[in-house]
Amino acid sequence: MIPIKAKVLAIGNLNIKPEEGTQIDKCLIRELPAEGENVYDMIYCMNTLPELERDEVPGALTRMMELIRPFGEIQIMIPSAEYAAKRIYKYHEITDPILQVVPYTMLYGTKANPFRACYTLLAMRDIIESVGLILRRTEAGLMEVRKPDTNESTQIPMHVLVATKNE
Amino acid sequence: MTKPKVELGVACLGMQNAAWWSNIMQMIIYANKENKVDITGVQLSVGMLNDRNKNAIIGNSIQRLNMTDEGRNKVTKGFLATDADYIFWIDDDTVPPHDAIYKLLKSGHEFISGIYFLGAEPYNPIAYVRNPQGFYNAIDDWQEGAIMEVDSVGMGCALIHRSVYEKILDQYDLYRRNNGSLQPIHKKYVQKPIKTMHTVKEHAYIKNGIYREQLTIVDKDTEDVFPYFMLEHNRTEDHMFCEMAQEAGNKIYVDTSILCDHWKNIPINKNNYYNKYFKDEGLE
Repeated sequence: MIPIKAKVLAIGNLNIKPEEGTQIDKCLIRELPAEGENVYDMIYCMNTLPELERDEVPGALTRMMELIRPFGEIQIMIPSAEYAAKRIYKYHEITDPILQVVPYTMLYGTKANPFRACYTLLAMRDIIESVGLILRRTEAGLMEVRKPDTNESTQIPMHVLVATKNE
Repeated sequence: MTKPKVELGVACLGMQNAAWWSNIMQMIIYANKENKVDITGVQLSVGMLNDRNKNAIIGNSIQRLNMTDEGRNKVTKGFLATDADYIFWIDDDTVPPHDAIYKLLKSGHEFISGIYFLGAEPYNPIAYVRNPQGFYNAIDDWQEGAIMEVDSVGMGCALIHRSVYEKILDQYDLYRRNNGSLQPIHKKYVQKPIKTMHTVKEHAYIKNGIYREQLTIVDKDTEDVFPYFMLEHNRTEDHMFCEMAQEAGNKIYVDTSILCDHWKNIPINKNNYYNKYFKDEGLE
């Protein structure tokens, strides 16, 4: 039996291929593990935080902070509200039908997973830091979205915020 | 918990704007009031010449000693002689927010800078990424609130841990050209034999597209100032320092939530950048 070297929590509808020695637990954003502290080496929270009401977000982040081990990483991925706003403002220049819809999906989510709020990078950073997490770095991410009927796809820009706690 | 010790480092051109002085005071007062940072002192080099017109100063026989790179090297030497953990570089025309030092420290990075903007159009941030050709492009389409890795930053609002300098000193050897100028080179790029003297002096030449030149090793301990910063190859001195820092294993970050004024005749700041950005993007 391979010993567990790292424990990962994947929040949301995520498909992560487990590496050897990595244990991956999965949950939904509204069903974070209620028990335990300093449990995980890594927490992924991808494109799911906006499903919460704005005033629920600090509580969820606080729980993630409790669950992560000191110096472990919490990766939070959210759609870029800045990009969506720019696209909506310049909608008349967009002819691609997918790209016409994408900004609204970024801001409002989907029928299955509607969003309650959207965030700029600075707004999300402020919330992350307000609960006591330390923002270590940010990255520009891309997420592929596919239209189920035609299977056409496009990539949407995402903010990735990587936070940690010291002790 | 021990507070991090931070030395301020300033390479001064001459007279400073009143807004700059007031800001320096605000930063020190804030650090003192919040009790999170120990400002240990100020390393200063004065009378720096403007890099762009340095050759126009007639009759200044020691003008080389008044250039920005020389000033920064002296400031660095002074900093390393203290027991401070970090140096916070500020230019005498950049005005960071009063909590800039604490915010930069909080990120936990050893080399991190705030953002200030070029004093004229296109008002780009003084933070760069290297393109495949090896040249530098200003960061583009960045968002406020990011802590992003870059390849080069200016020294107008930069917090640097002493280990960054120590790693450079440890990993680089110092060489002298036949013309007397100095060149630090990473040890991993040096093939033996290393010369302490060339009996026959040869001119530099190019063979198969590679520049070749005689160099002799210099004892770093006997040199007055190690050239961390060099105004060489028609570039500003910060690029070379950032390249050495990266080569020595350091990552360079910018925190785009720390937005400074860049004082020229008027302060240049994010408003200038955004006005230009919105105009270019058709979002006016």
